[in-house]
Amino acid sequence: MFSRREFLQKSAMGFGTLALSGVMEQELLGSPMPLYPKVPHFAARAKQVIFLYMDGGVSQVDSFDPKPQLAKEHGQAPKFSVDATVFNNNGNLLKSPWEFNRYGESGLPVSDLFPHLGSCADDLCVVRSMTAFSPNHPNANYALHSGHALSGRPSMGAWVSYGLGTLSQNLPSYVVIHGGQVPAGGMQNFGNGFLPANHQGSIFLNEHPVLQNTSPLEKSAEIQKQKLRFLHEVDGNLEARLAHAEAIESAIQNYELAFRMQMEVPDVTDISGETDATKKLYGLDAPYQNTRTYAAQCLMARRLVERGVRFVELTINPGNGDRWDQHSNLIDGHQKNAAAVDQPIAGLIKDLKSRGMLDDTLLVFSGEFGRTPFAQGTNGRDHNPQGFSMWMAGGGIKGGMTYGATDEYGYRVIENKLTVHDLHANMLHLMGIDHKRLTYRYSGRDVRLTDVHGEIIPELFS
Amino acid sequence: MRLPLALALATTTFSLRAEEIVYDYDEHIAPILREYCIGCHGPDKQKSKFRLDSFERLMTPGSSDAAPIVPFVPMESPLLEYLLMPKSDEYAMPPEDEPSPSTDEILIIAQWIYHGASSREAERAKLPLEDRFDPAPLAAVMRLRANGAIVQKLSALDAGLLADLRGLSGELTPDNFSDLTLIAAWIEEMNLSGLKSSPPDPSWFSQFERLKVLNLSDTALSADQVSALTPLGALARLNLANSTLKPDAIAALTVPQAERLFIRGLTANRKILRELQARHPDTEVIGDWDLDQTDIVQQNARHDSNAFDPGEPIILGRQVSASGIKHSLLLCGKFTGIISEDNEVLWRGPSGARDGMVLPNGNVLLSVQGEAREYRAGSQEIVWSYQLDERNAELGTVFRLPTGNTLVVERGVLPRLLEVDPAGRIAVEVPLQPETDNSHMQTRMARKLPHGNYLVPHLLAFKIKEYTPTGEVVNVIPTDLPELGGREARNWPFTAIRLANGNTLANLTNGNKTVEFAPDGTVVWRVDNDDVDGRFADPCGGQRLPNGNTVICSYGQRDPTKPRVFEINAHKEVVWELFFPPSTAHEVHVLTTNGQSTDPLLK
Repeated sequence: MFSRREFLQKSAMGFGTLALSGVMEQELLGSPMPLYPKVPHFAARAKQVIFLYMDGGVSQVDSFDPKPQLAKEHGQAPKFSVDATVFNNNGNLLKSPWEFNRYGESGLPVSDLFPHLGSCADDLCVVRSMTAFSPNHPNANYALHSGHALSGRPSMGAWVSYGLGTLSQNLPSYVVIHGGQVPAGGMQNFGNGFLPANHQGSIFLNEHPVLQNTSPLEKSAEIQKQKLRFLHEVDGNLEARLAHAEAIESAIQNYELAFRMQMEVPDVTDISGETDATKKLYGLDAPYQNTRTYAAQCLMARRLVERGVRFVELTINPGNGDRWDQHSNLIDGHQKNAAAVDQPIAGLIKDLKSRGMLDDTLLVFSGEFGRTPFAQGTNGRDHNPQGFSMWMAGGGIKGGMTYGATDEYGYRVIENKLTVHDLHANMLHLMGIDHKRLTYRYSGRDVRLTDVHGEIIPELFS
Repeated sequence: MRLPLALALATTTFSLRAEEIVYDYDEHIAPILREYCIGCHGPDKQKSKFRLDSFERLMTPGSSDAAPIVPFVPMESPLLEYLLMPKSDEYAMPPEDEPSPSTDEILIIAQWIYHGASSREAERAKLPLEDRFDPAPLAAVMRLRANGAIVQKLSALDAGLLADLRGLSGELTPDNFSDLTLIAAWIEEMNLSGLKSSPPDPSWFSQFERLKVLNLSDTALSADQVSALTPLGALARLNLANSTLKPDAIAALTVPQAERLFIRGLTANRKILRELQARHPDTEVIGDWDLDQTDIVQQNARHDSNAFDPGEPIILGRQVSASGIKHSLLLCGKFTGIISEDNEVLWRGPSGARDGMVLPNGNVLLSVQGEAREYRAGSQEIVWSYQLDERNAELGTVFRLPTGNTLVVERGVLPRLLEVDPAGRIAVEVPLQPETDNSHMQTRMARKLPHGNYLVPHLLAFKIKEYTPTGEVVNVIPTDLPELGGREARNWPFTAIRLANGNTLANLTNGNKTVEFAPDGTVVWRVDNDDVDGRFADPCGGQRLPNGNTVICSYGQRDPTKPRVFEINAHKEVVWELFFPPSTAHEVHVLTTNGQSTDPLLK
């Protein structure tokens, strides 16, 4: 048997160029498609996920968790005991600069930062009792994405891809539509960890072309086919002799997928077929540039979901004042961030709903932690892992409700405390996966996304 | 009761040892439950939220958070507990006066639970397709997959199938259709979005008896094909978004069993759509989103002190006045909102308000979409509302009285004027006499007079009537006077304003006039198109300003080069005009004149 290194050296063109198997003639080897959808453990409510990642930490008392007590005690020192903060520059209690209105039949309160989302209130399930494992960005990001506060574990998108495969022949199962802002901790937040490589997040950029290396170099398709056929012949033997070593298998699948993506990606990114009304709904013509960019991302998310991509994640755009991480200039920074995402996300929800796609698509809006109800300095807020808000919509989630509660200042969770493990367990549950049974043997252990934690919360489901 | 049970136990146990019956849900248990239980715990009734009509449901908790049975543990199974209780106990099941299973039957249930509560059907359902299906349907599945479809079980536990045919790009061959027919009995979810080919016969859809979710978006269906959907008893969701259905097909669309029906893009006149909605009283019918709403939210957010707005002020219309008059006003019409003296949109509300006013605290009171609504100043939050009575057809007038009550007028089979209190209760109800059954033409801008009576213009009656709170008509001003052109002039009174001098100022809509009547009905002042160079076009709402000027809304004005609203002085000279192409002007509330408030309000 070859060692892994020997094998890679012996393959025809060296490292990185492995053979393809029957891609041109659509030969079927075993399963018809590489990431053919897998049967879930039990009946699923959602088939696909769109994760709206709010990098930096959205302030809960300024968004979805109104705290009149803050207004009453504005400017006073906190009377409650305060845990250590990241910057250790705590000021007095800072009331929200934004008013809250109640929206929809449910009367869900949403701040003036998100008036468009307010018009979707009856579809939102706001969870106010999320907590984070760490007050630091990289660790909290790793935890939010992979369930573990250190790097190296597979992202939730990779787990979903591993557990369910994809509904699309020609697109990856996990796509990250990258607004440009790289999260703290790096792009490995979207990685596959120890899961096979074809489960990693494929990064689509916010520009043309969205993806590197999907336009053929060859002048004609025939020439490309000949090249690929040659590779196939040369490496065909190798694969047979090694009896489907997993690394080869997934590498081959990646290349097959890349070939098919040549056809599909230009199609997906061409939005000229969308009506003007749709473009207006998302905000593709909004005055603020970052709204326009995020609107394009949301529209792309819908198009990818239409084509069967299993897990779509959106990162935000830079240029809104260092993500949502307003250690100072809360008003300016949160305004800009909200202005960028509010209309597009509301447009996405409404568009999905009218197309009958919202029932099958789970939307998750979350940052990695919240922000302190007392100021940092005079006009900012520090990190708050002790309690923050996020929301979910569609895909079997019950709308127009809130779950859990923080104390009267919005500082610490006092009711129904949840962690990312619970979030992941419930996301998987809605997709028909028992989080305890979706495991991968690694390091001698059957590892799960939810480690040994995670509780299903039926109150969240419709 | 004990002795016979013990005897029964002895005999049955003895026979079990001899024969070792393996109890199965479908064969042994379901018949018992069917006979004694599912009348009250089944599809028609679910007492205490228990359902006992399927194997899955026996494992599902009811209202007490416990499932009816716990496999392997009969003595912890609530079902058995209830069956074993003495009939005198109120919790005993079945209730005392209902037929009960025999002790043998209860024992069978107990034995079944003890041995694991198994169901061969449920076990079979867990098998992968390849092991469960007979050769013919299995081959159909393989062929469909080879063509690019996704056909698989909905879950490991389910017998039902998911069939996603989108991989075939809409082109299904006759073989594809017949393959689907071979597995039709198991398909619970089917995605035929983008289907271009026609099924072999119009009733093809009706064979999918277990179908719960059907996606027919982006297709074109005939009336026959649509009718084939009606018998699908299990259908919970039907997606017809962006599909093409001719009016006869839409009229044939009847799936009241569905929880959700998506009809975005279906074009039909309002009557057909209303009938569709009426055929589906319990179904959530979801159409297209409303771009107007997005626009409203966006425009309103601009004026929030902490919203982020880099854009220019929104100007939709312009005011023209030779003498420099500028007004800020609330416009009610296709555009409903508040405009500043500089023509900037300060607030937007839902389109199509019939009447409205801005309250002293800045909140906006509107009559819109059959509802009287009070919007919190500067927001879309509705802080008070009154909905039109379901017996009536239209809600027209809305006016906030000094007492805090809101005056509204309902038109329909029960034409009436109401005062609704802040808690939403009807404080005063005055039956009206509009002298016509044409709801739309019964009554318009009714108002309350200082001394407690109501001034009510009735269009088709050609009369402005003054009512007491008990409904007695104490004064009538006819508007079909010969000097005004008689009935042919169609001087339907729309707005009637009681002036300080006791006269009544009226906008006579189709007659294109504004007339001031003395209490005895004589005409003391009139303005028509000869005076204002054709600006009258169906004058509806209006207002008398403190300086004696009159503001008139020409609701019927469609010419963008003519004003929607204009203002005349006592000498009938036009002193101010509002050009507002994107909207109609049904009613107006002029708020300020060159910075000064226009209180007291007379409109």
